[in-house]
Amino acid sequence: MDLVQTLGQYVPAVWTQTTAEIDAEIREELEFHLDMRTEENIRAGMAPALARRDAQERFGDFESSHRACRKITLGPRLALRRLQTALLALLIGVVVYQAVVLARVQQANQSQIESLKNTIDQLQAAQVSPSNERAPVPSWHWDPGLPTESLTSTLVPTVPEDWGTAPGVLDRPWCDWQALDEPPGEH
Amino acid sequence: MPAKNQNKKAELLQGTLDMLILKTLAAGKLHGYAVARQIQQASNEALVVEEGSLYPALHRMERRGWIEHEWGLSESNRRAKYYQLTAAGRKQLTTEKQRWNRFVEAIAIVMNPSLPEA
Repeated sequence: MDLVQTLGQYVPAVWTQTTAEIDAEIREELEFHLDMRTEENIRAGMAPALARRDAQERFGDFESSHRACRKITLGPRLALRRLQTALLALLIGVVVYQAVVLARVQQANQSQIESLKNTIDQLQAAQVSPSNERAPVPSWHWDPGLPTESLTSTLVPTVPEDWGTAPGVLDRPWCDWQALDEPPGEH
Repeated sequence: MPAKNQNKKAELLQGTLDMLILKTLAAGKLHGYAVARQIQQASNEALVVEEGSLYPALHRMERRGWIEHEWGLSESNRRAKYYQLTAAGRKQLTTEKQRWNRFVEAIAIVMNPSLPEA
């Protein structure tokens, strides 16, 4: 006994039959009605063509009735299909969103990696020069590899020549230095 | 508002049709065509079932669990779908009968106010 037969014992037919099978059964049932009415009309003395037409007129819109039966019978299945469609759409939305976020993160990581690589390259280029010459170093930059005699020029910021203290100011005691902030003539 | 009036009519007919189908199937299992013929014959052809609306009603009642179907052979030896009442259907028939009786009594009181209440 296959799975469908096993399920059929416990599950209503609407869940185990295909949509095409349900469609065919509904059509067969309605056709049976039309045929029965036609036969009865013929037995009553009508010509076959007239008997069929009378049966169809009494029945009304065959396709409309078929659609209504189909909608009622497949109702739970159609509801489930709508739920499946909604869940699938939600799943696709989540996957697309995650893909976009992942692409953005990767892009940001890539740019950070590039930036770090550039920094590392610059630092390496600054420390090791192919011609054994040192790259220019900012005057404030401490470089323990430089000879001692160059420390002065490397450690002390370069000050413009016209900068400087007024003559004799530094000879005065430190406690008088605050007087520098006072207007002249007050001390 | 024509649409609203049409809906009211349809609801009334639908409720009546369900009760008539339940009553007809209480006698035993029948296919759709036989249900329609039985209703017409039992009412001395006064009630004509709208055949196109009979089948949606049968399918709806089956979905509600009032009736169930099985395929069998008709009197003309053709495959036919036979319906029969379930336990829920019998209970529903009792409910429908009571509701119908109350409805008829209420209409009778309105139409014949001089009659004493039952």
